[in-house]
Amino acid sequence: MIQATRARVSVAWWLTGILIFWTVQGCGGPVRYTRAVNENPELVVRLEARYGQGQSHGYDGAVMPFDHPTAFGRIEIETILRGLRVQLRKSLLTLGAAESGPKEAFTESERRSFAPVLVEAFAKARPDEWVVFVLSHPRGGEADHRGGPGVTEVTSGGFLVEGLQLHFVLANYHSAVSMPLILARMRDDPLRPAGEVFYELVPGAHQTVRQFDSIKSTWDPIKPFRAGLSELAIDYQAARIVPDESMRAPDGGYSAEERLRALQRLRDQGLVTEEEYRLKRQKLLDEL
Amino acid sequence: MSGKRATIYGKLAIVMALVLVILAGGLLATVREAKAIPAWARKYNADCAMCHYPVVPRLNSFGHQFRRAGYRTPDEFNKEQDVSKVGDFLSVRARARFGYENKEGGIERSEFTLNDATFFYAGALTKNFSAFVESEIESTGDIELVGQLQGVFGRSDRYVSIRGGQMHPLQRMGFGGFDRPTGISTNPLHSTTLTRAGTISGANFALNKDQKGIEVAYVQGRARLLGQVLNGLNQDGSGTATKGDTDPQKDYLVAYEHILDDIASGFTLFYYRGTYHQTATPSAISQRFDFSRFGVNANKIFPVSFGFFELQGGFVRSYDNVPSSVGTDVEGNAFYVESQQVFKDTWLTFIERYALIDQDAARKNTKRQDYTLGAVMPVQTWLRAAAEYTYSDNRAETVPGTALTGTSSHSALLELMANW
Repeated sequence: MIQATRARVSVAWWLTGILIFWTVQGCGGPVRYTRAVNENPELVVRLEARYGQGQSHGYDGAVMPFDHPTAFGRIEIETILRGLRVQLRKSLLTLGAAESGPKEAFTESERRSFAPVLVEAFAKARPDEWVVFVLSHPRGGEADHRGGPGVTEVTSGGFLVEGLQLHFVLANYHSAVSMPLILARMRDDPLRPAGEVFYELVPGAHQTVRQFDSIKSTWDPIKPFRAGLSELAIDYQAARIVPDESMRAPDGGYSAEERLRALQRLRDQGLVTEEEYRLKRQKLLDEL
Repeated sequence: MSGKRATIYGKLAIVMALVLVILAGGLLATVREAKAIPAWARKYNADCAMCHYPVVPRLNSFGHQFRRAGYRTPDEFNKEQDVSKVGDFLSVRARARFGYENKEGGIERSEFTLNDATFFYAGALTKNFSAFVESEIESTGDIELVGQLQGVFGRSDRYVSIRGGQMHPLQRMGFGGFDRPTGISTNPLHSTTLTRAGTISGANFALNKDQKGIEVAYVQGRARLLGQVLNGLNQDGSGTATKGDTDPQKDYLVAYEHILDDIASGFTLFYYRGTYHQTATPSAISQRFDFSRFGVNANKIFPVSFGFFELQGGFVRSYDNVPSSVGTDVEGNAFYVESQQVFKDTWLTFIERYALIDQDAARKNTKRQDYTLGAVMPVQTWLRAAAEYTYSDNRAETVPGTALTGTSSHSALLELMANW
């Protein structure tokens, strides 16, 4: 009898130990190194090297996986951002929620403030760094937070360039947050969804969507059960030439700066020869 | 080790093992997200962490302020509401349980139950008014109804709230431990009768009973001062039965609560004065108890490396003016202390609670003690799992100087709560 009791107690202790081990292990996340590009309450943009299984977008860290730095132009980025769409994800929780079709992932004012910082970030990014971002603003304005904690809407995610594709992961979209500690966590790791994933990316022209599963901790036995994020791969060479009349210079064309940047990028990627680059560049400068 | 003790420890080990296995299973199946109450999650595109800490249904500081304000965010004050989206107002909850109990000297038993299926229609309806309707169908077949209308007048940082109907007076609405429990069971200070006089029960009153009445509250920033006038409880301890405490004497509650931080720390001070009749004939003054309860509940949450650590506690002083035909007056003391550990990312939460209820402070051996261990965690966005074990030592003298009577018991509960 006593032996049986001891055996049961022993089982309980073993299970306790396993549970504690499980819990501690589950808290482990990727190893991240960050560099700030823009840090203010409304817009955080950082360069972030993420190491750990699955963190480097399919690479193990031994190879520098991304084609960074990349020279984008502001209008080019604004055009690409304009082409990003989201829609309410169908789930049990959103059952009954009235929502129309896809909508723009970034408002015009967000694109205008975000694009120049993204250009700077891609120009500075190293081959192992994501460009991650957090856009946030108080819902209803600062004045409505005077009664205590209010609601802050947060959109966060990350970009990277692989070959001729710009990859975009949206972790949080206009997520309502009230606890500052949760907000701080979202700002700390913009690629991690703070909770329920309500929205998903919708592929448009020159875009393909796939499951993104590289944000999880290194030890993650529950991967098959986790609600996943989607990742958009954008053929930016094609996407950037989508006509965007509002972005054009007064003469109807792209600005000289945009054209010079685009030309430089084409040369860097080996799409034009050094000779072609030099001739075209001189021609553009002559037009100034 | 005697054979009897070995049996007890053996069963304890089985219960602990069962709890841990269930938790491990929960870990395997979890999506590790914070969870949401569906109606408002849909309305605000919000994860449950907007209003809940650490898991549904307990509220965080913002959630309390949202509820105080009649289910509106600060930017929604004095603005008309869109009531056309029914999904923003309707939600359903179901709770399934497996319970085990072993009372000393009694029969060991266990059972599966569908504890309740509950329907909610709640939210702000106009720029000033809101409603909350909760219809709970219990496993017994009984239907419990809570329905209230609330008006809010003022600015988001300073307003007056008037609430009336059949409602939760303080427990499940208050702060600093008066909110709904993190685990499964409500702490015994709020859910049990706190006095006992001689061989009979004292006032058949518990702080968690729903009642009919009206409340006026003034909210300034993080502070709320409230007063309630309530029908009180009938002889069966019910505040919602059709027939009941319909005498002219009303019960009164005054409370002050203060939110200390942006997580869910704060305190509540309260004073409750009421009358209670032992029979259904309230005209018999000789059967009328006048009674009072006052006390404090407080909690503080500390961010730590693994997540959050919380200390919580409360004290209630009870006084029953017992009719001379029944017995002598009785005074009681009760307190509880609780700690919680919340692991970030998983929101796995462990709970430890000790409660002591001295049902008659003037006499020895009238104490009941509860030791509770629990764990809870979200499994899916709409589902949480919880486990709880309680050892209750409820042995006391019923007649002074005689042997202790009553029982001690071991009980365990496993619960799945689903919200849509």
